[in-house]
Amino acid sequence: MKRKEKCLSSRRRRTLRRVLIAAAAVLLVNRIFWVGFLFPIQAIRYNEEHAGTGRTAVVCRKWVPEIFKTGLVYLTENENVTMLSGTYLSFCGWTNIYGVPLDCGPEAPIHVGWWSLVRLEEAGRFYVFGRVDDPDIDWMEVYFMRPDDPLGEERIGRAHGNYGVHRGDGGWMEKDGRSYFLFEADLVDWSEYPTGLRAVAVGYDEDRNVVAQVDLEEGHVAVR
Amino acid sequence: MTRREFLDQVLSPLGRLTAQERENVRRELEEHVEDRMEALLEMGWDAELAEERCLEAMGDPAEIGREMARQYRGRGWLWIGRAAVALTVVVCIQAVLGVEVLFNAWDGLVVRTLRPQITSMLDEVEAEELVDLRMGIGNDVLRVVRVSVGEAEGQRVAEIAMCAYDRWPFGIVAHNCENWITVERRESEARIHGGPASRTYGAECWQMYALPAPGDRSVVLTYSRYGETVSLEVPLPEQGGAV
Repeated sequence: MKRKEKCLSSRRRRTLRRVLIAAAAVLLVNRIFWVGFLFPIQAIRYNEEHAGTGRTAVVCRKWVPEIFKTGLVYLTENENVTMLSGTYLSFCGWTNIYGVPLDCGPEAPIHVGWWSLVRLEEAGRFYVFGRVDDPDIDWMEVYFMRPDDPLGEERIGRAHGNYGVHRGDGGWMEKDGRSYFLFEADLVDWSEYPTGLRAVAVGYDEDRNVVAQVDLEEGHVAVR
Repeated sequence: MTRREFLDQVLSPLGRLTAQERENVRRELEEHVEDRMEALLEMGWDAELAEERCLEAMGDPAEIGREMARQYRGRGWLWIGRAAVALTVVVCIQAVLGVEVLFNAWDGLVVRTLRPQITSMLDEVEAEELVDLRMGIGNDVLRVVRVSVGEAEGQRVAEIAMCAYDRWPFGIVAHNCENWITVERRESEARIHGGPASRTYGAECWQMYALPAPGDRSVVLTYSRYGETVSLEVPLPEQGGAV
C-alpha cells in the first residue's frame, strides 16, 4: 500500500515539478532576456527601465484595437515623471512599445508631450498627454500653428478631432493629488500643410483666460 | 492467475490514465511482485508457486484497480502539467530567439567590472589618467574610466570617458542617458558636449569635454533628470592637470 501511495501521488508531484520548472523558465527569460512577459504591466516596467524613469503607477490604460487587436496604451506617473507608452500581445508575450517619458521634475504649470502610435500602412493614433500643476487651469487645448501665423489664429487641429480636454472630462484624471490629461485624435495627413508647424498646448482657467502656454517639444513616433 | 492477468485486471478500471502513467503503474506493480518473489525464492520456493503466492498476497486486483482509479481522479493536475510543459517550450523558444540579449548582458558586465575601451577623440594628449569613479544616476550607475587633457579641434580640452550600466547585471541601461549629463568647470559654465557614443541595451559609453581654465584641477559631472540632481567631481590628471 505504501508503494501504491508513492506512485499515486506522482501525478500531482510531476505537475508541481513541471509548474516549478515553467515558473523558473519564465522568470529567467523575463529577467535576463526581457521577453515572455505574461502580464502587460511587465512590458511597461521594461519601458520604465529603458527610459530610466524609475517605478511609475498606472493612471489609466486604453485599449487600441485599431492599432493592435491586443494593444494597450498606458499613462503612468510618479512624482517626477509622466509617461505614455504601450504594449501588445505577441508570440513573445506582452511586447513593449517605447513611449514618451515627460520629465516633470522642473517646476512648470503644464508638462505636456505627444506620441504618435502608428501601425505601418494600417492605422495610427496621435496622443497628447501630460500633467497640470497649476490648479487654476481648467481646460487644456492643443493646436498647430503655421510658421506665418504666430498668433495661431487658424488653430490647425480643431478640424481633425478633439484636441481639448476639460477638468472633469474622462480625459482629465487625478492620481496621488496630481492632475493628468490624455486625449487622442486620428493621425492627420500633414502634407497639405506647410512644414515647420509649431504645436502648442494652452491651459485656460474657467473664464477662458490663458494661464499657461507651452510648445510641445517632447514627443516620439512609435512605428510598429 | 498469471501475473499478466493480474496486472490487466488491476489496470482495467484505470481508463483515465495517460499511457505513461499506465506504464508507470504496471512497472510499479511488477517491481512489487518481483521484490516479494525474490524473498520467497531465496527461501527455496518454486518460481511458479512463489508468483502465485505473491499475487494472492497482494489482494483482489479489481479492488486495487478501483482504489487506484479513485486516487487518479485529479484530471486538472494533468492539464495544469501539460500547460506548464507548453509554457516551458514556448519560453525556451523565446530564449533562443532572444539569445542576442546575452551580448547586452556581456556589455554590461564588461563596463561594470573591466575597463572598457573608449576611443579618445583628442588630436594630441598631454596627460591622461585611468580612474574608476562611480555614481548612481536613477536606476543606473555612471562610471568614469579615463580623464585626459589635450588638444582637439585647436582647443585645449579635458576629455572624460565614461560609461553607464544598470544596477541589475542583466538590466537595461537608460537610453541616451548622456543627454542629461553635463560636464563643467568649477568656475564657469563653459562646456562642450560631444563624442560618439556606443550603445547597447546593457551599457552606453561616451566621452564629454570641458574647456579647463588655468589652475583648474577638476571638472564636475552633473546628472539632472526626473527631479534628481547628482554631481561627481572628476580630478584632472596630475601632469598638466593644473593647466
